[in-house]
Amino acid sequence: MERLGVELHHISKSFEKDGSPVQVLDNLDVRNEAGEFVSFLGPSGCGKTTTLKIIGGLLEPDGGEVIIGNKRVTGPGPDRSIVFQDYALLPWVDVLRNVAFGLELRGVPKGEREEIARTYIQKVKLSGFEHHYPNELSGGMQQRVGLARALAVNPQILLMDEPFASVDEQTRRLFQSDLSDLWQEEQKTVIFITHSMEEAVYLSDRIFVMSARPGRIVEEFVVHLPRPRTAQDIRGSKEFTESVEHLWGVLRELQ
Amino acid sequence: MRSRAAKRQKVFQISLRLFSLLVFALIWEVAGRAEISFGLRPLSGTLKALVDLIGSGDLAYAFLISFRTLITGFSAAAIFGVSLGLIMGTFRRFEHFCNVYLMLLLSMPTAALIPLILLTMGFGFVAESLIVFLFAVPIIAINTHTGVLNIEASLIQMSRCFLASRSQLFLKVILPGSVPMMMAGLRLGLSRAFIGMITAELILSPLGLGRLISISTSKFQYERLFAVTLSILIVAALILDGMQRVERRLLRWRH
Repeated sequence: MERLGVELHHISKSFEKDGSPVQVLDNLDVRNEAGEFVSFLGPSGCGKTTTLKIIGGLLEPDGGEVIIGNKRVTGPGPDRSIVFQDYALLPWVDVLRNVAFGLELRGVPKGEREEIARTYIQKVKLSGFEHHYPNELSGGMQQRVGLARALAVNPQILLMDEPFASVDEQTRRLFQSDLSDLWQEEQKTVIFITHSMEEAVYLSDRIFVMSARPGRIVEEFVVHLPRPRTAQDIRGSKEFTESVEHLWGVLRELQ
Repeated sequence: MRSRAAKRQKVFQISLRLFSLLVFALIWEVAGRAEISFGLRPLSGTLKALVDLIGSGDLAYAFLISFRTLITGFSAAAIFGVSLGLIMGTFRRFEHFCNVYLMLLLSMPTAALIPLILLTMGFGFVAESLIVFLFAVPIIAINTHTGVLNIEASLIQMSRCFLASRSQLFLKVILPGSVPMMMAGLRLGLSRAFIGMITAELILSPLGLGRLISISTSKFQYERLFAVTLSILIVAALILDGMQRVERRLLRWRH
């Protein structure tokens, strides 16, 4: 499958708040390579999620354009799927149908889409939960369903909007290493939104640090940690702690 | 383990409910025998009258006539109310256009409309069904509308991201998502339909339950009056309970 990179050209966006416009994104200019794992890191309100929704085609920028594989983004497309912060699962159908939902919308026949869904349910380690409803699952498990659903439609680009924000630390670490493995296996381009420095360093090839109001890129940071990173000791390595320290230095300056 | 404790809890609840009914029956019987008022008849006499009414077939006939009205009016209200609620939830402009009337119908004493309907449509089946319809329709429409509005925005965004067409969005997200509120609206609508039916018949009908009540009253057959009222209460409670069961089965995913 062809791998696609994402280019943001001079993206700006403002929202109306109490009658006056608030600039959320100011002249965002970012390129990411095909197959790369890139994170946007920044404090809340810096426009990370807005950036992701613009790339996903759910929001239109006021200025600038998003280019994916030489084509301008004008809306959602089959090349991208989103993993949502609040999971966005359909509460009235079970795990299997939730994971198959994207395929169902695309008219894939039932037998085929359920087979694909089962494969991805296994990949996110939820085998045995196919017929559970979302409210019978923990937050971490619900997000695994969200990830399986996003992967099941086989997008080239995976957009993840603070997927672990409402998951406890223990679950988060397990999920992070599973995500890292999955990324290695699936070879997707990933754009990942987070406010956690450790998370960004652990997962990414490159990190864009953003400032708040208006959101701009203040630093582009390349992570030089070797892959695969699922080994237990990577978080204890000198390189890891130094990277986190460096990012903290940048973020502290912004306050 | 859970089932045994739950079962015991259930038995306890049911016996408490039966005990409450027994206390009520006892007070009724004593108060009736004490002849507090000429109109207040004891339970025993009421039950005897009830048996007579059932035996003679008068009660069954009255129920048949009344339920024809109830079912016609309520079915029309269900179809119209649900459709209206869904349309209002989908098209903003329509919402503002209709809301005035629904709010008026819901908050005004609907019985005040009966003379108007009588004047324009005369006595009979159609007029009575229309009254039942007017009693039931506003709550059904308003609840369905609220159900649509309550669907989480992230589910709509998720569907867009996975390329749902407008009709898919409606059929696979908006419609199932509004079912809980819709069902609650139908249940409330049915209990209002009962009120509408009895009110209409007390005033309009030459037949049916309302007529049975007014005849019994004017002939000073108070046991019969109590018996008819009691039978209506029991039947209405059974039907509403049945609806609640259907509702619970449909909404399994919430428990």
